[in-house]
This record gives sequence, C-alpha cells and structure tokens, in this order.
Amino acid sequence: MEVMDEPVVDGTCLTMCPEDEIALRIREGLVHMLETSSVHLELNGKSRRSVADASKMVKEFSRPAAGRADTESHNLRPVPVLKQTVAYLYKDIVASDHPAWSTIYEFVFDRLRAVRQDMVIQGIVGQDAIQLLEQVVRFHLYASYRLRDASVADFDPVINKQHLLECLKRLLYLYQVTPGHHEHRVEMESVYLLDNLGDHHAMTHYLDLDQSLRKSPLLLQCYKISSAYVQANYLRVLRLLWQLPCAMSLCAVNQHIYKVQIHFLEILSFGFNAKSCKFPVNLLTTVLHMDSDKRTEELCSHCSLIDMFENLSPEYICFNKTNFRKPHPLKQPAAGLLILDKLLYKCSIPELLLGINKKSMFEDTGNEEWIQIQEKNVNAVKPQGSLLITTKDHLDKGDMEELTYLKNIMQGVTLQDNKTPNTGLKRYRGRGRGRQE
Amino acid sequence: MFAVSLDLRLFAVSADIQLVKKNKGKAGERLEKAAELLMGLFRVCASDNRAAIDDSKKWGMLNLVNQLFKIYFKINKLHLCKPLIRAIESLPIKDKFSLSQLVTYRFYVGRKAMFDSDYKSAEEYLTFAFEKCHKASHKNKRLILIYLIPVKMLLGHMPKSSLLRKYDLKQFSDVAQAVSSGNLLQLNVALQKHESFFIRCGIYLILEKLKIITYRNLFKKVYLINQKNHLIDISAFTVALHMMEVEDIDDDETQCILANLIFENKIKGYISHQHKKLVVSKQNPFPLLSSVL
Repeated sequence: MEVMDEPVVDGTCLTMCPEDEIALRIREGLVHMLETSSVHLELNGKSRRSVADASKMVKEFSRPAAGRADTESHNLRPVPVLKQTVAYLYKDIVASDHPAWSTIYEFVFDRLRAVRQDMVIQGIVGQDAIQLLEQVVRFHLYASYRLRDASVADFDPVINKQHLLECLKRLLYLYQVTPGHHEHRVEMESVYLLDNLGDHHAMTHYLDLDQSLRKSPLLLQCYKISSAYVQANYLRVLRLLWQLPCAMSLCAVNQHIYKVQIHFLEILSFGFNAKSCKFPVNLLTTVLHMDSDKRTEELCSHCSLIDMFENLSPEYICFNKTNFRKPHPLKQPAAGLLILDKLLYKCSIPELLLGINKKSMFEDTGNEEWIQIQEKNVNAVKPQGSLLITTKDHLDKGDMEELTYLKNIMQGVTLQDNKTPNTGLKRYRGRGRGRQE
Repeated sequence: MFAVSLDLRLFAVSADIQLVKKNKGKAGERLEKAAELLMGLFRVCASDNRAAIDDSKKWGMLNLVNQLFKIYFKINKLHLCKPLIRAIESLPIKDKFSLSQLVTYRFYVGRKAMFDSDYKSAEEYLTFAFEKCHKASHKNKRLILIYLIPVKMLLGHMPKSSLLRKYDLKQFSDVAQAVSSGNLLQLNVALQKHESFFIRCGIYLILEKLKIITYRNLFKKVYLINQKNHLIDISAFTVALHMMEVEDIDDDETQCILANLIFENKIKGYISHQHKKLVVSKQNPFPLLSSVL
C-alpha cells in the first residue's frame, strides 16, 4: 500500500483546480452548477446567467488510468492548497443554502475524493494527512445523518459507509505510526467503535489501544455501549447513548439505534410474554427512548404487537412472543435524534467538520438536564416507573431561554410547507410533528 | 515444499520485525507478501486434477493452508481464511491428511469459529485438536486449552481445577469459579486482574460474554434464597446486583437482563409488569445451561 522508497511527486498546483482542468471543463461544458456565479447580463438587467467561475472550481475526481497525466506535478495540489480546498468546500459549499442538499453532498463527496487521491499520489503522511482525513471522515458522518431519509438515488448509504471506513481505517493506522499527541484521536476511535457497534474487530482494536487512550471518558463509554450491545442489555445501550456528548459519535451510531430498539422490543416480547400483560405505552416510550408515545405505538404495530384496526390508541401493550414480527424492511424512519440535532444546532457545521472549535463538539455541562426536560416534555404523562431520572428543578436561565426558543422553532416549522428547503430549521421538522402538546 | 514454505513464513516474520524496528515499513507487509507466494503454491496444488489420487499434489494443500492460517491470524485478516476452509472441506481426502496437520488445521478453524460466535462448531474442532494432539506437546495442548476453555464455559461446562493446574492456566480458575457461583463481582475483578493476558490471547471479549451466564447463576441463587417460590420480586434481583457492586442499575435494567435470559431460554418464565415480579415455571425454572445452548 505505502509507497515508501519510490520518489514521490510534489504538487505545484496552487489553485484548487489545475489550470488544464479549468480550461478543459469550461471548453467541454463540464462545469458543475456549484462552480458557477450568476451574472447580470448587460443588455437587459433582468435576465441572469450562470457563468463558470474559475475561483470556485475544484479539481474533480477521476479514476486513474494508463496514459493519464495524473502524476504531473502541476496537476497536483500540495498540502496547504489541499487544506484550503477542504476549508473552502465546508465553509462555502456545505454551509450554503441549496434546495437539495444531496446535490451538495454529491459535489463535495467527489471533490473530497480528489483531495484524497492527490494525497495518495504525493504520499502525504503524518499530521497533515491526519488532519485532512479527519475532516473527510467527519463529512461522511455528517452526511450520513443529514441524508438519512434521502432516496438511494440521491444518497447511497453503503457507498458512503465504504468510503468512510476506508478513510477511518487509514486514519487509525496513521495514528499508530505517527508520533505525537493527536487531538482528535479519541473522537475518531469512538466513531470507529460506534460505527461498527458490537463488532468483534472494532472491539479488539479498542482493547489493543494504549491504556491512557482506553481510559478516556468518551472512549470508555463507547466501549461500554458496545459491550452492553453484545450482552443484549439494550436498555443500558440506549441510556449510555443518550449521554454521549460528541456529535460525531452520535452521527456514527444513529444508524444502529432503530435496530437496537427492535431487538429490545423483541426481547421484551419474550420476557413479558403473558396473556394478562399490560405494559404502559408511556413507560415503553421511556425505556425504548422513543420521542413520543405515538412513535412507540407505530413501532409496536410495525412489529405486529398492536392491532391497529382494533385498537387505535392503546394505553397498554400486551407483549406476546408469537405475535412479534420483525418489521420488513428494517429501514430507519426519517426522524432524527433530538440530542444530536441539538448539538448540531449549537455549533457551526463548517467548524464542526473542520474540527476547529472543540468546545462546540463536546459539551461539558447542561446536556443531561436538557435531555431530562425533553423526556418530560415528550411524555406528557409521567410514567410511574422508576425510569425517569430525577429532574433537577432549577435550570439555568440560558438553558430555559434556549429551550423555549427551540420549542418555538419546532412548533413553527410544523405548520410550514414540508418542502421548505434546507434552512437550518428543517432538521426539527420530523420531531415537531409527533409532539402535539 | 513444506520446508521451503515454513522457512519462507519464518523469514517473513523476522523480516517484518526488522523492518518495523528500522521504521521502514508497515507491520505485516512482508508477511502479506509471503502469503501471496504461498497462495501461488496453494493454487498449483489445488488445481492438480489429473494425477491419480495417490500421488496428487493435493496432499500438499493442508500444510500450505496451515501456513497461511498462521499468517492470517498474525496479521489479523481472518476473513481470508474462509475460502481456504471451503477448499479443504470440499476435498474428498479431507480426513486422510496426517494427524499433525489435521490437528493444526482444526485448531485454527475452531478459533475462527469462536470469533464468529459459532461456539458449537468451535467446541467440536477444538476438542478434536485437544484430544488428538500429541501427548508430549504440552505447550500446544495448553495453547488449544486457552481457546477451548472459554468456549466450553460459554456452553456451560466449567473446567476442573486439576486441569487448570496441570496446564498452568490458573488465570481461568477465578473466572470459572466466579461464573459458576454467580459472583459477578469476582468475575469483574478476575477479568481486570488478568486483563492483559486475556487481551493478548484475544479471548477477553469472549470471556465478557460469560457475564450473561453469571447473571443467570446469580438469579438462580436469588430464587433458591426465596425458598424456590415461583414468584420473585424484581427488586430482589436488583438488590443482588447492587451487592455485586453494579451500582448504576435499577429495576428496569434488571428487567431487561431478565427478559434477555428468558429470550435465550436460560430462564423459564415471564415477567409480570403489574406485580413487578418474575414468575418462573414450577418445573425446572433454570434449565441446565448445556441443554439450552
């Protein structure tokens, strides 16, 4: 894999896109929409036209093939330019308002791939490679969360995951061979652990890590989650997950949550299998960490535990192991994770992806309380069970303000047209609907 | 050919060590190269379809496979073993190789099955390896036991202390004792204490799975203390878990653990939510572990 002894090329291209490529793509009409600027035509001020903008063009990914001038130094970008390119992509493209985020995803994904290609050809290793790969990994994670309900034509989770793992594995290897302290190593290791929840390899990898790393709170928690998952203690899995403070780890684990909830429900149907069983729906909502009783009912009916024709809104679930059916297909519903939404809302996405602002990714305080309030809000009726963590009555004024603000957004957005393009608020829409308080 | 391939592997191992020392290459790089060459040999042997069975090159396959296994386990690429296993299993002569080769082969296949959580076949392969392994090769027998014991324990068979003493595997004795007595605390302590040994052998994760059985044994004790009453308060189990220093646990999590044990048929009964009680079957509420797995 590594080309160590061969002489490597050093790129000399100082723009995001090599000049040859700019000329070629303008000539052949291969300029992406996001690489154009709209200009007013002089003739009549009203009509606008998109014109290729060389300053916005970014090198495209193209497969290496024989006879291609890939390795010529004027077509390769050196490290500073690569970093600049990624920063540009995140700050100006990812954060931009665009009606379909999948277009942005496609564009950025392709351009990042070209960045990786340039890295490999030039044999970039060490801290520079680590920083770039971390940023690429974060983008794939964020995209997998943001586009979780997109159709396969717009977003292919399998391909995304494949690229994510490719970068992640390379990254973990670089951590091992590059001396020095790596600021984001814990974050990335936790992502690896949670993305492959319960996977033997990932857990063995964790066990092989250095003691000091293994004992870091975030990573330890992620291991506990994995371990609880293997031991089928799903309640613990969900509880620990809901305490995760790191946005990227949550993005990584989101794909598994639905699966965990289904397994959990299956186990409960076996454990509580009795004709007289009456399990309150609101308690189940809390145990499964669902957003609302309505969603719990939906899940139960997907699993054939409730007959929707006979009983429209049951208060109790009668678990029955013979009735339980795994829903088919096992596709996660579109609704997001409230805790994650909140974390993402709080920080600027470009900074999160670039790994600049550490404080916005890790929250030290306030998070737990916020979750508790959420649980209380979601369950209008307080469950009798001991599940609810004792709620602290006193809240920071700031927290309260933020909460009311968020609540307003949620309610406001519910009423709006569903096709509202991706303003920052869209993320709350799915949630808002289930929460008719 | 056997000698050459063995030399090649050993040479690759030392080349690897030297290269890593000199900071020149990725660990396992030379071994991968060696594996490639061995695969070439393997293909030649496997495709020898014309010669009569007595002098066919196919007899060389198992030895090569074993060499390859050793490499793949070392560089942690277990998924590469699968086609090799399939190739061997489809041979009509698969049981007629020399015993020493068969022992090595089953040892590795058993280990792989263990990592794939297929404990039944892991037990089968490893037991064969252990029983047929030559008496004098104490070291190999011990090596086999390191994997056979955890598998056996997961299937509900605890090792005798005399066996552990004979093969100097006292690390397991605390674990076995803790599991069979349902002493979760002792299990955690034992796992902590021998952590590095278990991790080095790659069985730490397997041993962690013993916790489920330990829960079962602990809960059985609670049932016995309750004079075998078939109605037991959930809180009684939670108290027991608290005693084992599982501090952050509540009734709901206990119910989750119980539900899982019922799901796995390790407890016969059901949980009554209204009464907050576990109702166990009057006959044989805790079936023998070896019978349910």
